[in-house]
Amino acid sequence: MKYMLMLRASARDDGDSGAEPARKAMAAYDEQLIRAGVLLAGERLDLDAGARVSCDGERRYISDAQDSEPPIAMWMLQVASRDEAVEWARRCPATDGCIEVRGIVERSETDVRSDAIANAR
Amino acid sequence: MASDEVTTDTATVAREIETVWRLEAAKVVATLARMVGDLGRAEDLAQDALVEAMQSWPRTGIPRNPAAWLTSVAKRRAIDAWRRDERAAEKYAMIAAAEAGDEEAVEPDETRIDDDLLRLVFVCCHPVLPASSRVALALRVLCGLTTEEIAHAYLVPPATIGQRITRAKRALAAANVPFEVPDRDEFDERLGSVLEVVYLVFNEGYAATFGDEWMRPTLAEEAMRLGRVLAELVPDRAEAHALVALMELHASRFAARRASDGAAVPLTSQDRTAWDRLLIAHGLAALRRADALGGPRGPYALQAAIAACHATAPTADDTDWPQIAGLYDALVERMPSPVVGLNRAVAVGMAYGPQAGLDALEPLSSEKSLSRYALLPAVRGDLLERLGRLSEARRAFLSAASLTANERERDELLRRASAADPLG
Repeated sequence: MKYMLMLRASARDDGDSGAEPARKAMAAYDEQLIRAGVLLAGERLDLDAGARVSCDGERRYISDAQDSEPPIAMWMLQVASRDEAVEWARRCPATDGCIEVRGIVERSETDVRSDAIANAR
Repeated sequence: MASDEVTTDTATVAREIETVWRLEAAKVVATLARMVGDLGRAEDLAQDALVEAMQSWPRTGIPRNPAAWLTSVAKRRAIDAWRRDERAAEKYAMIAAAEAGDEEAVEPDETRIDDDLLRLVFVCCHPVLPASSRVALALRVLCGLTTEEIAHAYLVPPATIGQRITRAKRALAAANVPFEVPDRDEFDERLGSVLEVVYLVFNEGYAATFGDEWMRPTLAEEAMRLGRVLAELVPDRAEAHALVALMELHASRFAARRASDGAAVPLTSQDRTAWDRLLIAHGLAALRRADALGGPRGPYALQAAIAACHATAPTADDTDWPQIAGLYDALVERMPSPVVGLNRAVAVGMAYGPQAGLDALEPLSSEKSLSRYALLPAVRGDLLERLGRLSEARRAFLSAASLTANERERDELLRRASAADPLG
């Protein structure tokens, strides 16, 4: 099973201006995920390099990505259960904000089969 | 010890403990096994510590470093037991001295835990054990699966797996297998035995034609996880990274392998939008790590590189068959087997035309081990059909149909036989 962990924190406490110990703790966390064999991808998000594209029917509205609690980091994990994903989120060394745990929809063999049936019709 | 939070909901805590246990058990057992020199005893001690955790964590919350907590409790138990047993007094004194002050350490020594874990990996996959025992022990001790889960995955009664594990531990003790990382002169061979176990578990999950639909992906995922852990424990070994790459690239196609009627879909006809891009990206990165270590590619790296050719081709027509054929040439040299030769002939046929494929197939036709193998005449039929030798193609497909035990496959081969030469 795959899960996305997304860390949201108040903008003032972003990774770049964050204190050295916090950065080290985060690096140690990444290392832990790698050594446990669960990390498929992980990125820090650049707060200054975002945008928001809003959709309304065919229309698109583009604006800056303003957010009081923006996502600042994300990890993609392959774990055995939701409980395990939550356990990894619990171990994240963030000092404020929250970590969202989201399951990735897995396409099983059965799904692909029913897609094929739907397409055939 | 510091605790994160105090949870009062006992059921929730019990589940949390179970999760933590699954994540940490191998490390805890690894450290204890090094101390007491016996896998069975180490597991018993770790279990005792788990029982203690179940009593105390619902009150105190889960400690910040659960593995360290469990290990120190188990160590204390081991030392208490030795204290009671005077004959072991000498051993006790030795361990107590070695471990003095350890429990108070603020940060556990990660390098030491990794060393212990690697020792445990080598012991669980020791060549004195039959392959089936190595697999059971690895799943139980290294992956933290329960006996019931392993039994479920292999469709055998739990008692069978339980006995297998007990016997394996006894065999390790009887053979006096030391808790050591093998010496340099036998390291590669022993690592090969470890990688083999990981790949066996993966294939059981990935390729098995039997078993529970839910447990099969679990086995494949556990194998990938163990492979990644192993690759970080021996980061300078190219074949460990290559095995990770191979498993991930194969697993990326898991959802696309069966048609609506359940029949296997050949790689070139699979719906590539159903391939898992995240696993492909990670698998390609693992292969780059293996290649960056230099030296000639081993069997896992060659197979991973072949899988990578498919994974990176946007459509089946874009497949770089000459490169795949070249990789098979190298693989046949490293790992000569009739089945590899057969796959090589398929690639040669795709890269250089059906006649070249038939020529590559020719030396295999006298191969005894392939005489009952349906894929050989099926491949020949395909190549003959492409050459326009239709009545020969028909005979080859019919012969393949008579060899397969799979009903769907037989229907497909019979269909191809009459399509090749309807009047034959």
